[in-house]
Amino acid sequence: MTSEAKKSLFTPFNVFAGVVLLVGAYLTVMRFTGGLAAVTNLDDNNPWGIWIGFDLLCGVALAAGGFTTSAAVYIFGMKKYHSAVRPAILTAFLGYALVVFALHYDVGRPWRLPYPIFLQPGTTSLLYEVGLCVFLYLTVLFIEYSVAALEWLGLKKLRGLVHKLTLLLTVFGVVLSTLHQSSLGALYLIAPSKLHPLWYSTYLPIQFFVSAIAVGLSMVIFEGTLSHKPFHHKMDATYLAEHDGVILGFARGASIVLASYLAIKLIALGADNNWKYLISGWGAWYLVEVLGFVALPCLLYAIGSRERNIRLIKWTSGLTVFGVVLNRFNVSLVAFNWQLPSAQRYFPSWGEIGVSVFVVVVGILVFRFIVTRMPIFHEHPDYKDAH
Amino acid sequence: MEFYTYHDFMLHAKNAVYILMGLIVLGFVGLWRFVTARDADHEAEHHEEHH
Repeated sequence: MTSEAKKSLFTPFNVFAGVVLLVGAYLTVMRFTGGLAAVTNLDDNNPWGIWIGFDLLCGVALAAGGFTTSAAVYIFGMKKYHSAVRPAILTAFLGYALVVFALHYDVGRPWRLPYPIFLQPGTTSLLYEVGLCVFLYLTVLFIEYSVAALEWLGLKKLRGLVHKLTLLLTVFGVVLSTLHQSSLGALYLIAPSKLHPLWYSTYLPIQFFVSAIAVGLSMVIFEGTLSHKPFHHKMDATYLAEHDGVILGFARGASIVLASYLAIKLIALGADNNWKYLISGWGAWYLVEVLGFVALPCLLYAIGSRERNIRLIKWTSGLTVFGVVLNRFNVSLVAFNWQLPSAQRYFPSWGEIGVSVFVVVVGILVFRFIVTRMPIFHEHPDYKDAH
Repeated sequence: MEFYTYHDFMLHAKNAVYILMGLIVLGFVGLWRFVTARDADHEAEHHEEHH
């Protein structure tokens, strides 16, 4: 190995990723030889920890950029955002793939994951609906993403066949996303006595769905911002020329969607007459979430879009992503079991945090592997303008 | 505020929601006007750059 190759291999990120992979491998062995108790703080009061609250709830929400972008381009005809479709679809595909990957750590008997789909469908269960949708949507995303992989592999006939399915897959993706993004919120409708009234609402499904659209749009901006420096050499002139337009357009959309989300949150408060809880410690925390991470990004996106302030919009996308992660944490962990004495409350173990970081790093490494090889940020020379 | 019947509660909660909905509609109009206020200026700038 030449010294230059060594230099490019031992970058700070690669060293960090290597350490995380080693720790992840150790935790994987611990989890599958010692069971859940060996690496988690889960118990009968708290059967769902950060592997559900972060890996699953946040993973699915953050992957919403796939269906929002492809719907904007292929259903609503906003062709000026076309260059954002492939990165968004890839992020969504990897997001869902990692959700399923992480689920193998969380469920007691992961080899039985296909059972509800093929052997014992519990058709009256929301969890079944979520499982079926994630299974189908992961398949849809794989097919949508595979166009880039087939171009890279030079399989023209197969690529042409799959490409013809684009509109059908987009419609299917929107339907499936609408179903399971909302059903993830609906899962918590079963626990009115466990979830704090400020977060519990019959509007939870629609809150989860609308916030997923907002964070999906924000993730496209956020991921584009993060990718810009390391993968700039992989971006073609079309992508770079359309980039600012995508940011401005998506910021405007996200501002309107966040305003809708804020409105639904307010209506939920009013419909359950929960105003009195606002003047408590829980109320202060709720206001931090709603004012700091919904109302504020809504306003900042509006200002950024109006003034064409790209820098402000990029920072706001990070704020929105953090806000939706905070919301999912509040619903699934912080405000869940709020009446239990603090000794019985859940806090993740280092093992759980380690596995979650491991999953994220695996995602980043696979993303890097794909975008440095396949036509994601650029068009394949054989298929210029063939969309 | 005390509620003695479910009807009392629903009347109060729905009143609050109807008022909120009215304010929200006005808020959306304001937001849309705020966001799009500079569109004409930006388009004119864009037009000038191309000529």
